Amino acid sequence: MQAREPHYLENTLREAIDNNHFEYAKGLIKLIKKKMACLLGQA
Amino acid sequence: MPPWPSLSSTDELERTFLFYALEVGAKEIAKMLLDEFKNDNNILSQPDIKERTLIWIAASQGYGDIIAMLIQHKKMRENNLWLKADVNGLTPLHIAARNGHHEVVKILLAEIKKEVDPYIIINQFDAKGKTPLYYAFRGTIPHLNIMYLNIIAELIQAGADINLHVEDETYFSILSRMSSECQLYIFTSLDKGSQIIFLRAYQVMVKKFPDRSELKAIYHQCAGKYSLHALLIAHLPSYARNFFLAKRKTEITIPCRSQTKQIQHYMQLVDKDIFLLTEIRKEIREYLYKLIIEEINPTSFSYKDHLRHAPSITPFSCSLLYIGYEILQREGVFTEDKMCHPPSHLNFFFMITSLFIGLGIFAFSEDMIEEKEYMAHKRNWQAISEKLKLILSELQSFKNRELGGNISEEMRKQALQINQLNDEITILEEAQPIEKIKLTFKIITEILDKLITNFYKIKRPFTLTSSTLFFRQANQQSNETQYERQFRNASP
Repeated sequence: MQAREPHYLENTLREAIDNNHFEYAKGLIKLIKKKMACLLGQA
Repeated sequence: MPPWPSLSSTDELERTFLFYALEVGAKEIAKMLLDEFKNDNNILSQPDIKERTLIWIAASQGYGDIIAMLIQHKKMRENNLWLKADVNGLTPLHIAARNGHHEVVKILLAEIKKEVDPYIIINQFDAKGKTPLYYAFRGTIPHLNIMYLNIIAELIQAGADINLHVEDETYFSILSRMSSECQLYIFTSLDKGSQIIFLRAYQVMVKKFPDRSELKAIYHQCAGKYSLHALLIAHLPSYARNFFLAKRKTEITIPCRSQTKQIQHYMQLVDKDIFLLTEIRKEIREYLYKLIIEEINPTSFSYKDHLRHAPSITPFSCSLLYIGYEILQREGVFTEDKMCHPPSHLNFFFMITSLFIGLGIFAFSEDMIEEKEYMAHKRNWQAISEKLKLILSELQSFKNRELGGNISEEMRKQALQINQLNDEITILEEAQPIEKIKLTFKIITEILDKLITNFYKIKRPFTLTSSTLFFRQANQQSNETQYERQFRNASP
């Protein structure tokens, strides 16, 4: 696990979880996954 | 700001998103994340800063379905991660019991039972020396919640020790301070085995605190009102109890809430029992039930009307008595209107032996140890011994009369053996007398009286019945005794 400052999307996801916004969290998870895949693709 | 976001990142308390979702109660999101990470061992096994695992946190929230999913995961099984306690020593079972999640407790217990030593896990102490059962008890204070009662019953049934001490008292004494409704509810939710443990614990408490009348009342209600089976088993001597439990283990599966159903069920069992006779069984039942009624509560016992339809209370010893009876009845000894004849000597010896063994079991009864009135008991026994000797001499004189004065060697041996048995049992009963056995003696005395009376009614010599015929056929060739030969020659 990374010991680092959270990314703003991570913070947003935590907020979505906190407020139990399922669809919002779902979208954020997709987005984070897409970003990760994108970065991995660039690497 | 980091260059990219990650779904496996943790916060300052080392909580992953999945963990966080579970903790804040966002169950649907947690499920979605769980689906996402189902193959990620790191995420699944990552505890937070307080050493709490995903299962722990799901248990605290009462998410049974998530626990069921997580518990099967290979990673969770490694080093018993699913049972891991947090920094305070609280296991998932502790926390589920503390928060009153009955379903979760059930799921966890089902898995724990598969472990090598479930009792250690179920009775595991936390950092404060408390077991899950303690937290379930605490949940019922100050306001009663039925979920906690269910959890208490579930834990006790799974093997939670009610005799463990916490702050100078046992868990059971905490339970005995609950309202009678709660106690009865827990009692009736238990299986038969646990009910026995409960009744024993109540017995101990009643003896220890004779002034607590409410405790006695609950004990009576538990014993007499809700579970006939538990009542019977709790009052059986340990030897007979073990036998009965082993024999009936597979047969008794019905819940104990309905008295009528249970009695019906017992009646079916009794009907199937080849050792039990109809009329005599009822008589003996009645006697033995009276013993129990007097011992427990003569006024409030609600089975009085059902005595005739209730099962035997001491199946093993009574079965032996019944064997003796059955043989006598088969031989026609109790047939009053018709011609009577005595039983064949083999069967007669079997009957006497059965009576002795039956009595022997009574004599071994652990309840008997407490009472010291063995002189009265001894007199009873002597009376029976005299009657047995009288029967033997009657049988011998009958044979002398009918068979020309020859008494077989085998018959003498049997008489000798009976005398030896008599001595042994006398020693036993001197050591362990009991008040309630007096009535049992009365029953047997009556049996023997009846037997003696019927001997005088004999109007004609032996007639072969199916059983004697069986013995004859079996012994006809090489093993035929002198008596059998005489018997055969005397038969018309």
